[in-house]
Amino acid sequence: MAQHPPPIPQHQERIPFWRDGRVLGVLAQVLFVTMVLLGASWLLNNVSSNIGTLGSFRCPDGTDSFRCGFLFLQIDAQFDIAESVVDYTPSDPYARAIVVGALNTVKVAFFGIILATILGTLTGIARLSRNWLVSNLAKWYVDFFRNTPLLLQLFFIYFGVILLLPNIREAIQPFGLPFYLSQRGINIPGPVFMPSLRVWLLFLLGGAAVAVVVWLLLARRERQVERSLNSTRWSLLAFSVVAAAGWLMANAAISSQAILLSETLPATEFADLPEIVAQRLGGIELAEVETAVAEGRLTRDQVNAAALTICAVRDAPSEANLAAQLRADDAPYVVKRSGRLDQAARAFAAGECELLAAAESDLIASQAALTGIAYRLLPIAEAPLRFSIPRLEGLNFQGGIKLTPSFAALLIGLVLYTGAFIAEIVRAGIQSVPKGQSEAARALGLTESQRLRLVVLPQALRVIIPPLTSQYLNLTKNSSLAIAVGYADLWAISYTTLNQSGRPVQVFIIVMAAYLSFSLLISFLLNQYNRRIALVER
Amino acid sequence: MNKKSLSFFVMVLMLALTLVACGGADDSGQVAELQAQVADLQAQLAAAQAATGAQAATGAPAADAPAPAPTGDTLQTVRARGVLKCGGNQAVPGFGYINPDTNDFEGFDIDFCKAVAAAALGDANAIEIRPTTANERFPVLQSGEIDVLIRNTTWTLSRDTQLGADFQPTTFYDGQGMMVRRADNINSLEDLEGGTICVQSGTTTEKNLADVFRARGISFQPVVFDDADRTREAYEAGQCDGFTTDKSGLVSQQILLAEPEAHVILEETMSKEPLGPMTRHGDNNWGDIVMWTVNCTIEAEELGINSANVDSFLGGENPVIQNLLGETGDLGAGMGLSNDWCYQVIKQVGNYGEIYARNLGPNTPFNLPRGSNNLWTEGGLLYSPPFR
Repeated sequence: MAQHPPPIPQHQERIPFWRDGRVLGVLAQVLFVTMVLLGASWLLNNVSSNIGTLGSFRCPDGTDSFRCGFLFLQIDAQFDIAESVVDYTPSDPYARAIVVGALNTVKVAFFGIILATILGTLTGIARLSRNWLVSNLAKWYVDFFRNTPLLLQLFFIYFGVILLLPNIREAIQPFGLPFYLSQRGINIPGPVFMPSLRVWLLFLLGGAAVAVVVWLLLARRERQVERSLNSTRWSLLAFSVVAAAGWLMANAAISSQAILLSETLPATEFADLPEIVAQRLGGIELAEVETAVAEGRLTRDQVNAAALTICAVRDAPSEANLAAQLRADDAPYVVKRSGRLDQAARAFAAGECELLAAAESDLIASQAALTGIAYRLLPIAEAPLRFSIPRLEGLNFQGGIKLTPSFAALLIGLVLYTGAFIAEIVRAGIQSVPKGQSEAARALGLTESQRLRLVVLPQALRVIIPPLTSQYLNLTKNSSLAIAVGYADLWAISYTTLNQSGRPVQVFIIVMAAYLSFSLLISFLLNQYNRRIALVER
Repeated sequence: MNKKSLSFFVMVLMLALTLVACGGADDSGQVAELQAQVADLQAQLAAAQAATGAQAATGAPAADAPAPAPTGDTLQTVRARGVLKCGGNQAVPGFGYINPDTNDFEGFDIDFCKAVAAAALGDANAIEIRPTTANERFPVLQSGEIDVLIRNTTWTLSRDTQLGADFQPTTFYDGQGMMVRRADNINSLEDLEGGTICVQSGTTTEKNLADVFRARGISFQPVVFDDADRTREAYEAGQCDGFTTDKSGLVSQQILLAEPEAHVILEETMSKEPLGPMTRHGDNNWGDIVMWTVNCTIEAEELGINSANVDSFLGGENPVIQNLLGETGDLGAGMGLSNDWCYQVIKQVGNYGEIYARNLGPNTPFNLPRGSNNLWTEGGLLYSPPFR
């Protein structure tokens, strides 16, 4: 009899599905996706119903469309912006105001990234220094700034440091130079490009070409005679000669500038003007006016009354050109600025000033409007490059370049904060390179700078770049804290736009898109760089 | 769960089903079970759709309408919550600020919030103030986070039509002013040529400043902050030559300066600034309640009724007063309020004159003259339509 094998169970005990790992896994995922999608659809539904209530996506024909939601960007913004890279007036549309804000964000992020990188690298290296004070100073700096909130630091820098600088009337002026530091910001001289700059630039290009030719010729000759002929020095000299000749040519031969003189000024040429002022002041040497005021022989009011009054267009190069020449003669002057040339010409015609400064062609064109009054046209000299010097006129400094306290506070805050993080990244990067690499480099006889440049840094950069990217992104996004210190960045202006136009959804879309593109651009650039320095694996 | 999300859920479930089905053939038991679930849900969906159809047939709102409607039923929401949420200010003494002694919100605007609470809930203290900055006040109202915005908000056409909100009667007629340092010897706006001006962002003053200065050809540099305190601090520190906001706001900010007497407010008024409460567009009933609450305080002052003597007017002869206090007629019922709503407002908060005197009057540091904010019978602009 054959032994029957034990019967195979007909029905295997099945695991109930609520205890089956595979089913539970799938169910959990389905549940999660469902909840996320439900949440998102609820939010979207809420947004779309709010948009319906507000009617902010309404087209002129009464229908709702996404495109029409952005028509408001063409409406006049009607608010002013303190600082702008491009021209802006309150009659410009919201779109331009937002662009101004975006450019301000780019400005602060650009300088912030550069300065934070420098500060971070130096501090990172300093932390590895064998000098106790240097490494500890770096450590304290990093610990302090990394562990306090950025907003707090910004408030402190703005309200606790910058606003405690001296009043604008007592601005700090280091070494008597025309640099002014006050609670209204930092005012420094700024270059003004005159029309003849183009001529000088041509000469500069020509000079560069001559310099290259000289250098090549001398280099060939050097190879022939086999001794140094100082080719670099000679080519620099050639360049300087051509550049100087060009400057003189542009100065002497070209002038687009002129002034209109009122009949009350008995001047026939430009050189008469300082003499007229000197006569008004009782024949004093103009160079001694300031000492005379200081000694009490003249009062400030007397000087102001004797000063030449100039009508000019605001921010026009003509004013800087004339002012630079009057400054050279120490002639005191007062400027009355208007928005446009016709307004300036009207002020001149009304006798509000003795001189009207502008480009000669513009002055000739506006002569038609000046009928009925007596005046003379006098062409004046021009230099390719003039400097506009800040002068305290009335309530604020006029002319030159102004670094506003808001910008300064934001830039300093972002640089100090992000620099602390970058310092740690740099330190980690350098420490990640094994000691043996340095020892091997030294054994091969590389110099210290070669060791750093060829062995340590390339390997450290691989570790540094990826986290550095996120610090750059952080800095860019943290710049939106600008609103706390009154800097007109993208977010501050968009927030005002949102409020004035009543279109939160659209404004948020724009702002998010803008920050997203800034971030993606930075990531893209650094990823490209990262790919270049990455370890090539075969 | 509404129709859309339900159908979506079914879809996802079906997707899951396919995944599971592909996963293994021996899961047919589970598959069957899931199919049963789907059938069940589909039945639910059908039922829901039928219900919607029925609703649509009876003229009820369609299911596509937003579920958490932030408009239309503010009174019910407030009643159910038992507390009125007002958007207010915390940095403008006299109008809306936190009293450092009591840690309570106090001020002219806060009192009107109390008045609305007295009318809607019968309890002036059932309020919750949500302090807002100038920029965030409108989104906060639009989103339904607050029931009414009473925060020195200027009534303008574009705000009325574009922000999804309605203005209620003006509680304070104001105009934009400019504060400068006495030592600077500035007597008119023209003297501010080339100066720096501190202004708060998201305000009508920010726009007026640009408009007025442009029209007069005065160049200036704005310094813009999002917050009233920061704006004042920057001005006080010397960052600005001028500080501009509504004149009432300037008076109120002046007492917060370290040396109030070192600053002057220029005579010039740069604009009209009618300040009043704001409600969400679309809820007309709630708008009526806020509107007539303000009118109630004005009418009470005109009739000489105040919080101290209001009880003595009860049971009187004057039909106008009997109507106002809800002893006759049904003025409250039209708005869904109890009939004594105006009595509660006067009794618990007071009439307009009392509110003004309490916050801005001679016994306060501000001592603001009533000016335009006087009854029409006294040469002012306050005029309540009749309570009939």
